Amino acid sequence: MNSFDWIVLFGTLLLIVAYGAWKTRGAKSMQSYLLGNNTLPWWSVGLSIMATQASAITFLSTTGQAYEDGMRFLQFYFGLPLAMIILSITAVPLYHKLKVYTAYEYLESRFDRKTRSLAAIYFLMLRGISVGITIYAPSLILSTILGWSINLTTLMIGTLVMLYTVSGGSKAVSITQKYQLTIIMGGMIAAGWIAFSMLPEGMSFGQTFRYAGEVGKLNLINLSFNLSDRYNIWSGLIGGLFLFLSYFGADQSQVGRYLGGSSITESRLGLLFNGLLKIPMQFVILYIGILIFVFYQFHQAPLVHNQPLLKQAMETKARAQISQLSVDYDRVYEMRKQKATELVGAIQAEDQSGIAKAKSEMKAIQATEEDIRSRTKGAISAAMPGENTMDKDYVFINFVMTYLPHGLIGLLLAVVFSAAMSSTASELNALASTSAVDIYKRSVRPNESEQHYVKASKWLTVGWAVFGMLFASVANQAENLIQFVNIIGSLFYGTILGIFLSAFYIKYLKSTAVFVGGIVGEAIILYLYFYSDIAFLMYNIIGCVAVIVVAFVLQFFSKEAIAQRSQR
Amino acid sequence: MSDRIDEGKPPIFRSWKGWYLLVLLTMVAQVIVYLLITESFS
Repeated sequence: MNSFDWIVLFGTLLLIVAYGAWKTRGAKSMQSYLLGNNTLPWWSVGLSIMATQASAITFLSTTGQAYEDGMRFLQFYFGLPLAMIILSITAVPLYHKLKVYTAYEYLESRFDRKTRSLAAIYFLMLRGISVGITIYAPSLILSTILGWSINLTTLMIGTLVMLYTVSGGSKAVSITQKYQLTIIMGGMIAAGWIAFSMLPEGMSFGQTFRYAGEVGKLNLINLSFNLSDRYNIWSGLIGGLFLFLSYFGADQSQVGRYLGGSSITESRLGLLFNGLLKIPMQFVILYIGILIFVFYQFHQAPLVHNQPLLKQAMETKARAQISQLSVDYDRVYEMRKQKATELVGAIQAEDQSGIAKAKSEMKAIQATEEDIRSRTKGAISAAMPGENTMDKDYVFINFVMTYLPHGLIGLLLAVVFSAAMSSTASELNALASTSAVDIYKRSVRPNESEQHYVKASKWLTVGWAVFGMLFASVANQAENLIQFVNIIGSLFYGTILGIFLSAFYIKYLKSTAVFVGGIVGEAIILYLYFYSDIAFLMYNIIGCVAVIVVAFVLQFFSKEAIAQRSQR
Repeated sequence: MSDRIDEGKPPIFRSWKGWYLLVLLTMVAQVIVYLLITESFS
């Protein structure tokens, strides 16, 4: 990092934050603070939805995921377009018609206060934890780069987001997200282009596809049906559909985005825009991870991508062992580079037997390389107990810091910060709206003025930001950040979706049955999480079905239903 | 759910069904393309 990088980084961030705060200053009513006066056009709604979902974790973890595991993670998103269609038909007109601030308000008009509060509390629990992870990811990077304490960087990021979210509310979130998403996509594509431009001369873009395919990284679609496999087309289509129905239909951080649309048409087009562009966007991000993988076939990848951790380990008793492993790693890299060059030559010459030979030799070399990396991590763990040696999330940022030119390093750091800020801002706004409207206004202080609730919403935003920052300090125990966020979501989303589907479509079900179904459904999911190995995406279906089945049984045996049957 | 409300006219297509079909077909086309990539390059 040089001074040019710092100017680009802080210039970009401060401009966006200052513009967002200035443009939306002085929101006086709940309508303007929580919904931005319903003035957003469809493209702004769409960008805001995409920016909310695409956190810093998306860019750090997804590229690392592709680097290590290939592109199969893309299947996770196949249920999303279907969810966008279903919600455009059902939820959008309903929420607009009822003129609600939050999705949970609708549950009281359909059921009662306790069911509304239960869903709101589930949301606050899952989103409260998630906001901590969303702040943690970029804090980790800044602390790595500057060598500062992660608590200090967490505090800096959390405070920066809090500034404009508290000051301008929902509209500030949407306005800043437009610029943040532009910076994010521009920066990511620039990083991918640089990785490509540093490949061996004569290697075309199409040949990077061939190369990635030959070494097993283009595992985009897996048609086999396996409940314990995290990513296949069926878990993506079915589990993903339920997850995204819940995320976009019943999670206030997304509902709040499209409720800001100026009409049903604008909100609907915003959701459909996301349905069209989300999968291609994820493909691009994953492919950037693949380009970095191909790049590292011809340049030496670090022994451990978390370089500061490696440096610390070199000052411990593990130094001699790691030094020896490092020598072995250098030697193996030279052999692998030679085989990679042979593989590219065979691909260019369309020499099938040459491809097969180079692939098989490379496989053995890669296994040795992985063994050396794994032994290095073991040595670090032994010397530094408690340190997280998983380095997948460092792959992208380490590449940026090592190979990108000055100026672009600053821009790419601005990308990570912008992504973190855009999703954190939506989450804080949603947490504040839900706790202000569904809990505070409804159950604690019901008869106060508009100004009082706006003030309360601002203080609640501050409160949730502080909670997120505190939670961020314990987040480093998660193996892979993006998976952790999705697992947390899946623990609650199925149950929340079950409650909402009962409300939308099953008139037979009444409040108490659905309320108890919501509690039993959540207990079942928590039991499965701790005592089974079912893939987490399936929790979304199981939780949803459990709520509806339990509610049906209770309703069937309720006094009201028995009395009705006896009258017939 | 039973009350009808003005849902607005969609741009480009005559009804919202056109938009829903577009999103659905785009998703199906992507599954096919990605399946072809997986099968051809692996």
